[in-house]
Amino acid sequence: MMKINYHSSHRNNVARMILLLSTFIGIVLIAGLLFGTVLLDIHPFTQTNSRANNLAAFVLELRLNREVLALCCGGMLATGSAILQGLTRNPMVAPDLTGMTSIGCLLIILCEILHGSSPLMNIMLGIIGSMLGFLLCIYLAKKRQRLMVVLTGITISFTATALIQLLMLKAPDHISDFLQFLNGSLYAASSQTMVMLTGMTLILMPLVFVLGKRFLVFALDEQTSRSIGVPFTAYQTSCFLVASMLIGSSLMGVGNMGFLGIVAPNIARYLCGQRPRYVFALSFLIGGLLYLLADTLGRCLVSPAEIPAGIMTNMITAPIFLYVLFHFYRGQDGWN
Amino acid sequence: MDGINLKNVSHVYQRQLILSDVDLHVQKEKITCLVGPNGAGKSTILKLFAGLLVPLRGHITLDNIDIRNFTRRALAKKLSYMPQQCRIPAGLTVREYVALGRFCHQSWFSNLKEDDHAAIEQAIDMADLSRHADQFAATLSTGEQQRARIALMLAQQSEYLLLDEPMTGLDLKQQRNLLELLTALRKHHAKTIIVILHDLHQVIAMADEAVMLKEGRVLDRGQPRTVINPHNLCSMFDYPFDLFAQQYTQTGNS
Repeated sequence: MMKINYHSSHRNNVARMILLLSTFIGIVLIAGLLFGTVLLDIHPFTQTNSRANNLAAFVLELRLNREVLALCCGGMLATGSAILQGLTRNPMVAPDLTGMTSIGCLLIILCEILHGSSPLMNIMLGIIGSMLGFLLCIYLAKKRQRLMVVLTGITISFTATALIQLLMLKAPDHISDFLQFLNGSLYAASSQTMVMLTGMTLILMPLVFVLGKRFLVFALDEQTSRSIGVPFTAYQTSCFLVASMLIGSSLMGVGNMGFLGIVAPNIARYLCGQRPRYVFALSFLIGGLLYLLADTLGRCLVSPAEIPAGIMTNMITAPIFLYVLFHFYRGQDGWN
Repeated sequence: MDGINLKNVSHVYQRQLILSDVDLHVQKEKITCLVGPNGAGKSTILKLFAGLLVPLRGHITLDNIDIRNFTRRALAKKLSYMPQQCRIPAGLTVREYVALGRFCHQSWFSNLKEDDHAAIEQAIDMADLSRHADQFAATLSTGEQQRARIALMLAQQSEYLLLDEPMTGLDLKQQRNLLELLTALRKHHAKTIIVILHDLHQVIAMADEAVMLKEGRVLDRGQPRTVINPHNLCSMFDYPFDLFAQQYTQTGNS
């Protein structure tokens, strides 16, 4: 009886948290639609002035486009990192610390310079790059100790970032706008990208929850989980594939910024404990919310200029993360 | 022949010959103890049985079926394995931890059913952990964690139990309990138990058959009281054991 109460109260708790976060996201979404360089008036909708109406609709569409993109990208990045952290049992694994984002970005820029690319191509390259980055990191680190993985990842990441900067120095003028995406700027993102990334989210997130059902076995050691009947390699590989697809496709939105990938899953874990599916769900919401908030603030604070959402994220998440760290961290490490 | 059969099995790990041409038959519903000095290949044999390693040469059959023909899940239903060192995940209560042992009996989407809960409670009870069932497993002492691991294995409800030095970290009373538990499991639940032990007293107390290993070969096998003799011990550990061992077998016989 005790047990059942415990579980249901925990579930209620998480449900409440999800509701709260969704409400926040809703508020920020609506606020983001209304505020910006042009303060949107509700009036035009009620009036019959078609020109103002068209303008308003246009602005609305533009903003909605960005906001959905921010929500999807932030959420996907956070969920992907949460999966990777669970797989490696290492809360410090973030997409930028394992070289995933930087190699992805490197590939995207290379392709843009050499060939010119489409949104679909960018997403594909992002996915391939992030897989490459992580495999390279794991392969080079050999012993999968926490410190080794992180150190190797940082090395790969900095090398790739240096290469990116080298490319940027030599880059032809016409892609300088395009390079804004590195800092996580969403203003150059096309509606085509938005549609594709929303599609990716809708495909991948259910997959995450299907895979997450038995994710707890990764907390066990490998021999034990094999001996209780887990097809370990297959399960691990499919989780890794999904994670790198999530992170790779979010690259077009978040660029070479991975701090969100450390912050969101860790906050989620402090709030709801170790249950994998709750962690994934909360990571998505927290990541999405933070990135959306960053984009909206970056757009509004210094308008008509813009602070790229990636930079803004790093600025606003740091205090939030510190607050959560000091308030909710009770010395429980998820893995040992 | 029922039971587990090793036929001409050789295994190499990091260019070192661990097992050379081992033939071994483990009888069903018996307790078999593997005895030998460190590095004799005891754990390797257990891992081969559990399907965690693939032998370089030779065949392993489980109830007359080649072990390679089992899927992981099917193998886990038949056979459970407890490694020497295991990591106890933080953030899981003992009950949740033990529940993971039901993995092979569940489909991917199903939650724990009535019989799963019954098996979990029974396993926790057998491992003498009822008092700690709702505590976090990682906060328990080493011996209690070891028992939690044993409970996970019991929750799997397989016919074959492979235990790699299960006595590590247990106090005298718990060693005694585990010994009685294993004997009872064989007697009342018809389990086949293969266990690596270093304490020869315990081997004599519970084993139906002792297998002595040295440097990847089977030195001797048979009734524990007959194979644990000064000669075997001396060739196994390169140390004159005669007085102590003689005395013990005598008191054992009386």
